[in-house]
Amino acid sequence: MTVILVSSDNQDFKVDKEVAERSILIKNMLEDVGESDSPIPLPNVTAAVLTKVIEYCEHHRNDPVQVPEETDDPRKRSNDIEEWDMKFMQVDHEIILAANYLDIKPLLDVGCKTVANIIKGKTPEEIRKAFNIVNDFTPEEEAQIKKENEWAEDR
Amino acid sequence: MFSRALYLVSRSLASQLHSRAPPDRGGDSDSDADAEPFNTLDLNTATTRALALPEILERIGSYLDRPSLFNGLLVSRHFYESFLSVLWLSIQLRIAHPSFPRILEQLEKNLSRIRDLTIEDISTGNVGQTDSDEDDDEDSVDDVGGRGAVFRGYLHRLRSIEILSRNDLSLLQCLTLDCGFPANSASTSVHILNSCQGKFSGLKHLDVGLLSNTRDRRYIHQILDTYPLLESLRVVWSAQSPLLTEDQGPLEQERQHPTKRLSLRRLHLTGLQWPEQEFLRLVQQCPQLEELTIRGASKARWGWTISTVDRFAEFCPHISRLHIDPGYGSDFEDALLARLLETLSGLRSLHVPRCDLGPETFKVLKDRIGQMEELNVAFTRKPGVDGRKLVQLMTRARNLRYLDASGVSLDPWLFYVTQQQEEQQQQEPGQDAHEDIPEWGRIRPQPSAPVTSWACRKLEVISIGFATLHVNTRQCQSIYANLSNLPNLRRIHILPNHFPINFESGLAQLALLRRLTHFDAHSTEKAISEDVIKWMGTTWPKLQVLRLYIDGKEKRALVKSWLRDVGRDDVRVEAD
Repeated sequence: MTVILVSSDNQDFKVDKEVAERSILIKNMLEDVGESDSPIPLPNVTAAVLTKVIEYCEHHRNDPVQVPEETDDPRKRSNDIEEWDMKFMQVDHEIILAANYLDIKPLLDVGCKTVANIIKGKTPEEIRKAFNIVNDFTPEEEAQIKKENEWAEDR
Repeated sequence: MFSRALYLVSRSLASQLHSRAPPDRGGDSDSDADAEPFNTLDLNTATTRALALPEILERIGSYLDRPSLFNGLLVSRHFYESFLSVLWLSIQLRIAHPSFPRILEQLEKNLSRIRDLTIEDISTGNVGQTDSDEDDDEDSVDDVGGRGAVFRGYLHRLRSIEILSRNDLSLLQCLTLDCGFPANSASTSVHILNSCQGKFSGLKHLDVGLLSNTRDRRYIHQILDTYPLLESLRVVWSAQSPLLTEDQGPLEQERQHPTKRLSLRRLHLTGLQWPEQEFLRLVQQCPQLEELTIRGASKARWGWTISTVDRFAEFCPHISRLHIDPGYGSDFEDALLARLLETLSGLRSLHVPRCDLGPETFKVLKDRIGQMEELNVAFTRKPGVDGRKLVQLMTRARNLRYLDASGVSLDPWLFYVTQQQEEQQQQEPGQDAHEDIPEWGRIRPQPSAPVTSWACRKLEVISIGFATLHVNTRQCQSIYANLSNLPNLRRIHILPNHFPINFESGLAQLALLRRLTHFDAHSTEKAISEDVIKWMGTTWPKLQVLRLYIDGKEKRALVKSWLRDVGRDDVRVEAD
């Protein structure tokens, strides 16, 4: 069975229901609405991004659906990203937002791990440069934060 | 101008990503992405927008180690808010650690952020007891003698308990109390639990390690009463705790209709014996139990019967993981094990080290092994327990991920099965192959006979040992061949003596094991050559730990230098 997804720029995408349901948002919508041929509008996702998201879901269509409690346990997190996923993530970070909106946890995880790998090992200034962020702390505030959290510095 | 800034961000991001790209990426995407910015990136939305959402930034933070989180705190106010919550989500309070006062200062105002709290207190332990290698150095520098540390630890303990007991701890979900046992005073664990009685009302996971209190079963009931939302409970009594041997009398609330602990899924009890009545009284209250671990005291009598097992299965029909370790010198009979397997239809994981694994259990296992994901039959007590039966099980164990057969005598010849025999078994499925297995010990393979691979292709962890002291080359070839057919193997532990780890015996076949992280052959008592070490370093990209037979510190340094030569500084080398 196929469903039709409509991006924010009004492009239609025909996908297998099984693939579309990797998105919990879409899955819930389909359950609530029931049997219907009408297309599903996704006003927050552009065609370019949706193409990539669908590509990801197709590739991972046979993965076991992750149980929520397992993914939320901080102890179990690892920084192993599958090779295919790593290549995939290089193209577009807009995907993180889309994965968050569509509620596709595995894809969101891959995106977040990629960004985390960028942050690792960098000083605050280097992190700011990487993401073009403005420092809105006063020097006194910075000093206080350092002092309060130094227990975390070398753990 | 704003768009241009975003464009620049996307370019800098692109170059950041590519500098961290894995070495085996395709060449094409490399040049494309370098030449142009993200083709598909809509310049009105960039990574910075993703980072602006606190829930996304928190998720990113959850993948960072503490030093990275610390650096992230200083980036901007927005990063500070998100990363601070992540930093405090999971906290270890190591009371005896010199750095403890620093975290203690910040503890009270951040208590409500904590969801997972571990309290380690070894300041009350034996003087010679050390925490870990890293702490060793710090303690020896700081310590002005055992007394100073103990006194400091005492004050810190009091202060932490004071802070905990006067605050709202209802948001805490996980609590681990790892408090060594003192010589004289009440254990910290009990002290904390008593002082904070009822405070941890939201607690889902409680782990009370190394309790020094009198081994008293009523304590378990007390905990279950106090924390009704508990999903998992682990209590470990130290072997040196006094045992309450006299009849404990009726529980405070002797019930016709026992309270049901409907949330409890996992129960782990170590160090205490559970005779039939006590055991049934406990499990009757836990109908949703999925995982049960009981590690009894050594040399204790279990006194269970078939009817104990039947009633257990009736009370707890959802059991999927069972770990029974009767300890050395205790009894847990074959018939009981077999009955457990028969009655617990949802069982996926069975750990029965040191139990009397025998023919009855094997008979049932033959039918059930296809469902099993974990099997631990280490050091089963029946002498000479049948390696051949175990190997036969492996030809059916389609779903097995974990196997521990340490101490089971495997005749290395068992790894040869001629093609003929395998076909025979396939053609006659109705026939009870169990009765028909030939005396494999007597079979010697034809030179060109193919090796049968085990069916357990999902196997990730294996611990095996062999009956013979010396495993010869041809036997090794087939053992390695069998292992090489298990592509998901992550950890290999080989426990015989004199098992050769070299290319002549077929080690190179293990090159297929691309996911291998741990290789342990430390009890083989054979020194391993340089080219083998280097081969291991280059062939197993995910290798993390090598545990080998290494005599002396110089040899260990030498092995490390060989690994460094092939760029594998990251591999940890452990020796006994």
